[in-house]
Amino acid sequence: MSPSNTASKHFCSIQVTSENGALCIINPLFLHEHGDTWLTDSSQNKMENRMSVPWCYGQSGNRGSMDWRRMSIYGQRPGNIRHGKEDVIKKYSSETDGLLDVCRRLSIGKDNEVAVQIENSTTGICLNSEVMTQKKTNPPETAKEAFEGSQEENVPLEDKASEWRNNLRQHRVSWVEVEHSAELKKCSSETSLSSSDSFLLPPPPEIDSVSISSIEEDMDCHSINSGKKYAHGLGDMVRHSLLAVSTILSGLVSPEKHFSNRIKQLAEDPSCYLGSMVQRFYCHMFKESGQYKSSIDMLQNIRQLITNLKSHLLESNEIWEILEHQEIDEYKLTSIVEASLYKCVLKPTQDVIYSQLLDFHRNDGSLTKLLENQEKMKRMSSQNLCSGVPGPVIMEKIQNKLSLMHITYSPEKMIRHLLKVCKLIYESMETASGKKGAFGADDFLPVLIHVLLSCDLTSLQLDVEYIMELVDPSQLQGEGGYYLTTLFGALYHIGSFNTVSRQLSAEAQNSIRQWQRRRTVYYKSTSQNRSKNIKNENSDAQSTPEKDVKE
Amino acid sequence: MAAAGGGGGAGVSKTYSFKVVLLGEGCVGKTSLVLRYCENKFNDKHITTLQASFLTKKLNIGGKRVNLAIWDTAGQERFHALGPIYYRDSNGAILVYDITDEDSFQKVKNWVKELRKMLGNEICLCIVGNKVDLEKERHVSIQEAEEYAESVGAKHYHTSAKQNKGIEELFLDLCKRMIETAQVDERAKGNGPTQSGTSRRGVQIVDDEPQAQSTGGCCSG
Repeated sequence: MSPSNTASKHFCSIQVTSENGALCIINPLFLHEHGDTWLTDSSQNKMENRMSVPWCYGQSGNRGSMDWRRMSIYGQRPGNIRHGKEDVIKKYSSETDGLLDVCRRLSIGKDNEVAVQIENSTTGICLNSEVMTQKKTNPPETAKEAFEGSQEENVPLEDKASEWRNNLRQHRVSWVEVEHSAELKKCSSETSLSSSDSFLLPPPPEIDSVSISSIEEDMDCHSINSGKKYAHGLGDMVRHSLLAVSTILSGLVSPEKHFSNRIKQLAEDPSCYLGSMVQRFYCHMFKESGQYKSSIDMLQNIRQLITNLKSHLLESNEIWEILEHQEIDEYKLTSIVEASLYKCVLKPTQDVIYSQLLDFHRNDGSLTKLLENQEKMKRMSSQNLCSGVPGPVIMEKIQNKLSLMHITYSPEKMIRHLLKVCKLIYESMETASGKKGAFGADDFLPVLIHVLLSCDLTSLQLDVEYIMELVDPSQLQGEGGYYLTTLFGALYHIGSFNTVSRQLSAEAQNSIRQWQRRRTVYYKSTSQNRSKNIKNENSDAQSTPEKDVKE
Repeated sequence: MAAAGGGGGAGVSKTYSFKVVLLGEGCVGKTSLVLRYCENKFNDKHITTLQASFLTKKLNIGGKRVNLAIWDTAGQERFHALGPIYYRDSNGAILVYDITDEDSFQKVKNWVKELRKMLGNEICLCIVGNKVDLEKERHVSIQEAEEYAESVGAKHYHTSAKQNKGIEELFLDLCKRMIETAQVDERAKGNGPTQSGTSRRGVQIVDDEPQAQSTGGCCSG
């Protein structure tokens, strides 16, 4: 697959038609970026909001009652097609009828109007801006052509992959409303899966990894939306929309996104180093699970893989070729690589990792001990209340944030959730004491421990281990590292409650020494990278204003 | 393990990232001390802004940039065992006692022993007698404290968080010593940037930067 070929294929579009006849074209790059969760039935309300935005073009009347039926017609990149030709042909015959039918019904009326829908999923703001014209040709034919086009490009791939796909597909069919389009939707879901998720995923064990991510994003999105709506109203929406338009017009995707998409592609391509390593890792995790000596052993191996792949990517020519035309500072670059690798490596395997962690800690008895002590301390703490402990409403918020953290796959994002929890605790401490801010660890740690007693400690214990071992070690020196350490300490305190020792157990001390050694090892492997001079200067960005001190 | 290599390129000045841990019994004034030092310079990029448990400060010492991360610890006796979790990987430790409280000085001695045992000589130790504004009630003699500090390779400081005395000097001095240690370390390892070279990035999540901005005020809601 030549790069130029890829580029041209990018711009074929997915067509989305509404009941009142407007034909919308969604750039697949957009889906590639943001997934297709916004198309789902559950988000229909959001959809309606969007449609009522004033600059929504091409919609007349009936805005509120848009019934989104979707179909997908587009050319896929060969590398992304994971099912065999025959499969498609078989489906094709049954689907085309449905497709034609839907097209016929949906594209009545409107001439020359196609709204391109752009959504900024992070802010939940969306606009229909760009207007494209299209002849009122016979839609079924267009559809058919496009379909054939995509079919021609299909490249047969391993059966296993297609099995996986089938599995994944099943999870997505739920968002289909109409039976005709149900079939169609299946193919559209294939695309979108390829965009938002790694394609060669093995069948998700119980829950669908896709839906986890959508829960995560939806929830975040939702809270942001509600917050924003009241705070800033339409003004911000307009501003964001204009921003979004300008971004779109000036290159369709930000260089950062482009770059992370490229990494995703590489991870899906078994013929390159990254892809082969990632695939091997999947096999390892899904087929040969349970062969690690300990949880630490497992997590360290995974972290080592991420670190190695990161070094590889930062050195590989391919990445630098992409970057020749892009402006990304080098500090950002490493962060993007890190985040992309979380997505490739951790997202699909998160469930397996967790089930293994759970096994390890069930077997070593640490979880039982922790939960026993939790009960014990709960009983005791009901007698001597510590001040500043959040009330039931805040407690519920905290528990929600922690469960959000639990389903998040990226250690960095998990830390972010944790920090929000800490903020909630500080806020209730402030309310209780009447003073504003400035609590030290003497005050914070006891309250945190008290809060933890009414939380799901099993999940938390696994989360802490997961984050500590898998996050980029350099992250552990900042604010996130501090509160992660504090959480670890609080859990350690609960787990070792009532034991006589004033010292950390020999085991814990040993683990700390190992931890230090590990950092050195990581460091060595990363320091062999191309030297990134700017990195450190940029890393200053988030601290306090610089202060000059005379020597 | 101390310094951050600012870069391999000649002429690029280095940025050092140091982690400093605050140890000492409850009520000796650890928190006030660090608050005083970072007063009005809170980092509003931190999610838990305006809290004293974790603070950062940027310094420029003779052209060398230093990012300081100050980790507070809970001083209560029942949390003593958590110490190593906090002080692992630190470049410096500030051990605070209350000059009116003999016990708190004893605690400092215990910490020194533990730190030397766990981290060896790589960590820069500062022993700080706080609350010198209460000189009349002093229970720890200056001579004893200074001699002890010298005997364990630590430096001794007198501070008053209340009157803002001696605090700037304490941190400045500590930073200079940590830079020295880092440079020695660097030379020993052959001029390469050292381990925490990429550190002090805090909790930046590039993946959803815009979201981070827009979430700003509503994490509680």
